[in-house]
Formats: sequence, structure tokens, C-alpha cells
Amino acid sequence: MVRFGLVLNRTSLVLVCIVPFMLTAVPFSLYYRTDDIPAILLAAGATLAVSLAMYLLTSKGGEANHKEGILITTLGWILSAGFGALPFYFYGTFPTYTDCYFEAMSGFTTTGASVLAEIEKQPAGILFWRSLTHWIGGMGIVVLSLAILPALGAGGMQLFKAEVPGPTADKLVPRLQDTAKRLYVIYTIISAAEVIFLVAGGMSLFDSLTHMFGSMGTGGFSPKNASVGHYQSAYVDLVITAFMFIAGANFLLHYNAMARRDFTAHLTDEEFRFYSGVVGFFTVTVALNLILQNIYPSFLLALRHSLFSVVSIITTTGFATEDFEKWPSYGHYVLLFLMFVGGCAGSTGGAIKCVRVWMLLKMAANQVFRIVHPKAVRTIRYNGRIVPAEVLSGIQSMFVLYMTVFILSSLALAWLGHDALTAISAIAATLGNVGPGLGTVGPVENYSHFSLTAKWICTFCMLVGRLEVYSVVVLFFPEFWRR
Amino acid sequence: MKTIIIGAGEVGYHIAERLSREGHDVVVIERDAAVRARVQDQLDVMTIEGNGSSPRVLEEAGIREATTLIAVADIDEVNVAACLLAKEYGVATRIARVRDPDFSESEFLGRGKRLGIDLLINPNIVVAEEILDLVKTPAAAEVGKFAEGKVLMLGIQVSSRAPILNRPLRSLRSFHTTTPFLIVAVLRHERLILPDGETILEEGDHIYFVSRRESVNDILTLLGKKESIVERVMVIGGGRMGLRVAQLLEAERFKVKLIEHRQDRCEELSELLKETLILHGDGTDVRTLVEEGIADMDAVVTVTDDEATNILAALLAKEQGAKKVMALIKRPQLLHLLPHLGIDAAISPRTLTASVILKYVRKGKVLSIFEMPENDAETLEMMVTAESRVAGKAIRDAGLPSGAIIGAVVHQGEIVIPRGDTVFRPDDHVVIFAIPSVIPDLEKHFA
Repeated sequence: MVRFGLVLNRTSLVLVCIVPFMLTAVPFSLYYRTDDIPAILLAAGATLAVSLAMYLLTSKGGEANHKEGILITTLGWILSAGFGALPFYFYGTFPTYTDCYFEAMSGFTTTGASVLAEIEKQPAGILFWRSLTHWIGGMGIVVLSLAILPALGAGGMQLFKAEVPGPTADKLVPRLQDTAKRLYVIYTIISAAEVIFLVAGGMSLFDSLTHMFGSMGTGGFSPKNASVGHYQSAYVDLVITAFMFIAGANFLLHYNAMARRDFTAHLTDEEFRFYSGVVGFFTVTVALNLILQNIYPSFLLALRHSLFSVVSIITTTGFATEDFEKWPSYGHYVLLFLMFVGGCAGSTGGAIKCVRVWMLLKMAANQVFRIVHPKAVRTIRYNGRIVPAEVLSGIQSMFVLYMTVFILSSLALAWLGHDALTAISAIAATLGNVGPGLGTVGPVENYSHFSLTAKWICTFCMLVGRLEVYSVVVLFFPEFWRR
Repeated sequence: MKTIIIGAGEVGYHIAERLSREGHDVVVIERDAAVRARVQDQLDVMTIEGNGSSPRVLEEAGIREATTLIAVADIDEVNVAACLLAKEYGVATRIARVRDPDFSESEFLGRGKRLGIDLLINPNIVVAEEILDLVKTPAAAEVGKFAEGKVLMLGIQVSSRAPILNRPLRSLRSFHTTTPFLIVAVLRHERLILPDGETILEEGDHIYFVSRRESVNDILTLLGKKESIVERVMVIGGGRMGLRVAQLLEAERFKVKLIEHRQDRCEELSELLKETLILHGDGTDVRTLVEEGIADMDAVVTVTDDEATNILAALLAKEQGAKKVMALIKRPQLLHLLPHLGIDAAISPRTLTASVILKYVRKGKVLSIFEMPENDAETLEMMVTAESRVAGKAIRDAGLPSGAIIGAVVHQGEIVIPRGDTVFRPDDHVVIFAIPSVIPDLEKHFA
């Protein structure tokens, strides 16, 4: 039995957390003298009023159980996008609310798929908010709420599990609120470092902040029409590549390295090694392919663009320096494949995650081994520990569900008349929280030409991808609602 | 404050829940994967799967930074080994539950001191002492002792004949001047109410009140109960617990009959117990009970290893006319059932063991503690020091949290039942009824 009063009450606590962040856009509007302040203030006011009303009109008692935790998290995301869309809506950035919602959901889920064609014509405050949603959504709205509002603490573990990416949600320290706080502290420190590097490279503070939001959240919104390619600077490319790579790795490792002085944390972690290996292998092969096909004059240039694109896609960021659609098919195909792999567990990245891909490979290898030695007893280990059977089956069924949602949604886009490459890559890119796809939604195009139905399908996929399928899909099972 | 708890059984789980709510960083070590997963889901603690007496597991749990270790695994040896290790790792406070009296009462080991155990709890002893208190106060379902036993807190069902019914509590003021007492909580339809002057008691309410030991009888009259003299006690179940209970009762000169169903155990018991009449039989066999005069018993205690047998035997005893029946219940979820069944008092080893441990963990500030079984509240005895924030302040100005009620103030050996203008002075002992969420705040006020 789901107690809706309690669910709405806790959801209001998640929702209210976005209000102060909305207001941080105002100073930029003031500085650049843009006309979006009323829209932002109105949106913040409306969000505050609605969350207050939700909080005051519903019951506070009790702890959220397992089902309610899932519902709170999912509803928190749906509503955050709903209210996060208001600045766009009040300002008139888009003609329809669907577009505003698409953009906001794309922001919070760190997808970075846009329906905005002329980005640079938008006022500073709106662009700031658009990018900031990546930063909030990257580490998580619920984690943010857990960090700043102790009221969610009771039963908060369910919410944490529903939001934090990866097969198991690990705490850094015993208390959930401390864990959430420390995650945000680490996140903020690394973010600040990126801003410093970018400003040192001559980028304006506004551009540095917005690109930092895009890379640390592994989102991909840029305030420039040409994305990171706007700067045509090897330094900027390199800095952003490095921070995308960091954000796509497990923050537990960053915490161990920074707070516990365990500098070998990354090197000994199986998932991180797999992640680095995949990035290294495909960067080099794509660069070689580009050189052999005479796309770039020097290997170094090919390597730089190949590295940027591979990291941008595997971390599910979706920044672009080059129109990789113009690359030969090997490059395309690698990027399309990497959209499914995604970042590490406990990172801000999306998609299936390296740890799951790695585990699936291990399971498959194990199965082959058993064919040779039917009586062999072999356990699957991860970082030296035996992986419990329920975690393994959880990984398998997550993969199946992910692919099912992928196939059904891309079929729906094909039904609506999109070509196969567009349909496949648009869903891979939204479900994997990547952003740009191929075909008519490539890195230099956007999703604005999609029909309303197609936009809602993509929006749904973003949410499903960010919450790793289970938390959303379970709501469609009648069993969930049965008493 | 980092606390490591070994074993997530009833006691471990309960302590983990309390301490994490009170702001400790709790790490729970549990051997069973399913139990560990349940703790991880339901409590705000970190959990580690493994053996609590393994140095590798302890290091993973962060034993080097821990200030307290609470070893409440099912196996005595694991708890002892964990405390020995914890001492070497430099953990300041080490607590272990040890059931085997050979360990807990060994002169050589000095109540566990030689094993690195600061507080050794044998639940059988704790429970037996609680049973003795309950036998001695026949009207009460719960008894908490404070100020070296001079102040009592009793939990009692209000009877239909009680003169106190159907009028607001403030009308009792005249009565208070002669026999001071304070009702600190009312349990009505399983909901806990913190009463004020306007609260009206209803039939069937279960109330908790604090008073001086010598005034208890007057108050019982007010509640429609009469304190009678207890003479004959029957103990059903002759295990370690039954033996301990019978020994204590013997020492207080009660007439004790003990029923045990194993012949060889009966023979052992007859050697160990000099005054008690040992009966070989089944505690759930009505004929045996009637033959042995169950109807004349002032109190019946059922303490076999099986709680279903305990409940059944207690019900039979009650039905056959025993005055007060008490049953030992291990699963806390069952505790709230007992009053409905007509069993007068439930004895929960978990609650009692946890109370002792919590009191020790909060030592210094908290002198005594009594947990309400399953009501999510407890009564604490705290000491006012010169540095306490409340020192020199009247109750109404002290800014105490609303979930706390001052039940009594002990000032230079005098027990004062407090009013709004009662002033806290250094060295006063204060008995406070509180809900768990306000306990950290209370501790700050008295620190």
C-alpha cells in the first residue's frame, strides 16, 4: 500500500531544493543586463509555493518504505523537470511547454539533447539555468535533498538506492546525510578545479561555469551553438576531456583518493581499469582510422578529436568539438556503441555503466568455461570479492529491460517516420543520457524538428535512463500498486 | 562518535537503530547476507558482511577510528574475541553480551575485565532481576528503578473502578501535595500520549507514572488497584533463565515451585536449588498446573526457551486463577499482543539488554535508563552538573524539548515531583520521560 500523503510530502522536500539554484541565475542576468529576471523569479516563486503547499497539506509521519522510496524519487525527478521548465516557459524560450519540459528533463537527467536551435540568442540567466540543471542532476536531486534537508533521512536509503547509478549503492560513511554531503563536497571541489583551469585558459567566468556544469554533470548543454568546438582550442578541449573523464568515474574512488589519501584507489579498481581501457582502445583505433582515411592532417589532431569524442560519448556528456557525423563509419559506429556502455557506477554518467558491461562479459566467459568443464565450480569476483547471485541477476535483467525500452522506443520513432539511424541513435542518446545522436539529431543538429509525440518518447527515455530503468519501469507493473 | 556493532540480531538491530538516530556513526557487522541487507535497507548505518571476530573485517569496519564496540553476536566466543581485538586496536569502550555464566561470573576474569570487556552483560541475569521486580510489584506491567531504587516508574493498566477516571488530571493537584506523583505518559489504543493538565484518563488506558517507592500503594488505590502480598510464585521452565529466577526468588524468601519437563535437568536443578520445589512435568499441561495449585499462585513466570510455550502456559495459568502472569518473549513484534491476551507483563530480553547497553554508551550523563517495550520512548535519569545548561533554571525556563517530561527531581536525597517553577541545581538527579528523537537535545541540556 502506497501512502500518497507521505510520498507527496517527501517529494516536496526534493522539489524545494531546486529553488535556491534557480535564483543563482539572477546575478548573471543582472550582470549581462538581460530581460529574463522576471521569468526566473516567477518560476522560483511558483516552485517554492507549490512545494510549500505540498509539504504543509500532507502528512509528515512515518518512514518511507521500499515502494514509496521509489515513487518519491521518480516523482521528484518528474516534478523537478516540470518546475525546472518554468523559467523557459515564462521567458518564452520555446513555443510549447513540451519543448520546455524536454529541455529541462534533458538538463536534469544530464542528457544534453536540446530543442534549442539558436542557443546564443538566449539571455544569460536562462542559459545559466539550462546548464545548471546538469550539475544538480549529475550528482542527483535526491542526493542534494538528502545533503541539505535532514527531514528526508528517515527511509532515505530507499531513495538513495533508487537514484544513485550502479548495481549497488554504496555509502562513503555510515550516515546517509554525511554520505550525501561528502559526495557534494567532492563534487564541488572537482568542479571548482575545472572552473579555475578554464578561466586560466582565458574563458570567461560565465562560459567556464556553464561548461563545467556540462562536463561535471556529464550533461552536454553548451551556451555556444558550436558547443566546445566554438573555442577551437587544444587547451580547452583537453581540460574538458579530463574533467568529463573524472566525472564519468566512480566518485567513491575520488573520495577515497582525496579524503582517505588512498592514491591507488583508482588503479586497483576493476571498473576504472575497464573504463580506462575502453577509452584508450577506442581513442587510438578511431584516431588511426581517421588518419588512414585522411580526415585530419596530423595524427595528433586526429587523436585530440578522437579522444574528446570518445570521452564525451562514453561518459554520456555529449559535448562536440567536431561534427563526427562526417567521420567514416568506424568512428560513427564506435560512438553509437559507446552510447550503450556509459560511465562508471557512482559517477554522474548514464547508460548501462561499465561495471555492468564488465560483469556481463565475465558471466558470458564463465558460461563458456562451464561448457568446457561442466563440473567446474567458478565464482564471479569483482574487486576480489564474490558477487552475490542476486546482484548478477539484477545486472542481467537491467540489461534486458534497458534493451527492451530501447527497442520499443526506437520502433515507436520509426513508426512516426524517422529513418532507422535517427530512430536508433536518438533513443540510444536519450536513454543513455548522452544527448546528440546521428542522422537528423547529430552533434550539429538538434531535436526541435521532432513531433510532440516523439519528444515525449525521448523525454521518457531520459528519465528511464537516469533512474536506471527499474525505478520507472516498476511503476508500470500493476503489482506495484496492488494492496 | 563511531560505534561498531557486531551482530544484527534483535539486540544489535535495536541498538543500531537507537544510536544512529541519536547521531552516532554506526557500522554493523553481520554474518548473514540477508540480515545484513535488511539492516542496510532499513537503518541509516553502514553494514559489512563478515565475522565480527576477524581482524580483516574489523579493519574494514574502521575499528581504528571507532570509540565504541558493542559485541552482541549469537556466539559468546565471537563477542569475547572481538573485545580482545578491539582493546588492541585502541577502542575506548568495549561491550559484550556473554550468556555463559562460566565467562560472566568467573572471579579470575573479573567480570570480563581480563578479556578487554568494559561492560559484560549476561541477559539471563538482567532478565531475572527484572522478573524479581515485577514479582514484587504485582500491579505493574513494567517497573523502572531510578535514584538507587528510591524513585519508581510503573506501567499500569487503569481499572474500571479507578477513582481517577473521567476527570482532568489537573483535579489531582490536592492529592499531589500529600503523595506526589506524576503521570508521564498514557498509552491509549497503542498510541503514546504525553499528558497535560487537561488530559482525561479513560478505562483501559495504560499509564506510566513516576513516584516515590513508599507512595506507590496510595497511588495504586487511586488507580483502582490494590497491592497485595506476594508469597507463592511458580516458575515454568528450568533452563539457565529459570534457574536464575528461582535462585533470586529463593533468596527473597518467596515460596517457589519450578516446573521443568526434562527429567535429568530436574535432577540437576534439585541440587542447585535448596528451597524450591522442583516438579517434573509439562508447563502447558493443565492437570499438572491444577494439581500443583496454580489457582493459589500470586505470580507465575514462564521462561522456557520457546516463546509459544511461554505464552500458552501463561494463558493457562491466568485462566486457572493465577493472580499475575508474566511471559518471556524474545520477538519484540509480539510484545504488544500480550495485554490483549490477558498476560499481565511481558519480559523482553532484547529491551532489557539494549537498555543496559544504551545506558552504558551514554555514560556520565545518563545514570539510569528504562525503555518502554515497543512504545518508542524511554525514561532516563540524568545528573545536573554545574556546567549543565539547565543548572539554576526553572523547568519552564530551561527550554527543554517538547518530547520530554520531567518526572522527578532528586535534590539532596529529597524527591521532588516537579512543577513549572522547580529549579534544577547542580548534583540533582532528574528522571525524564522522553521520546528518542529529543534525547540528543536533552543530553546537550544536561552536559
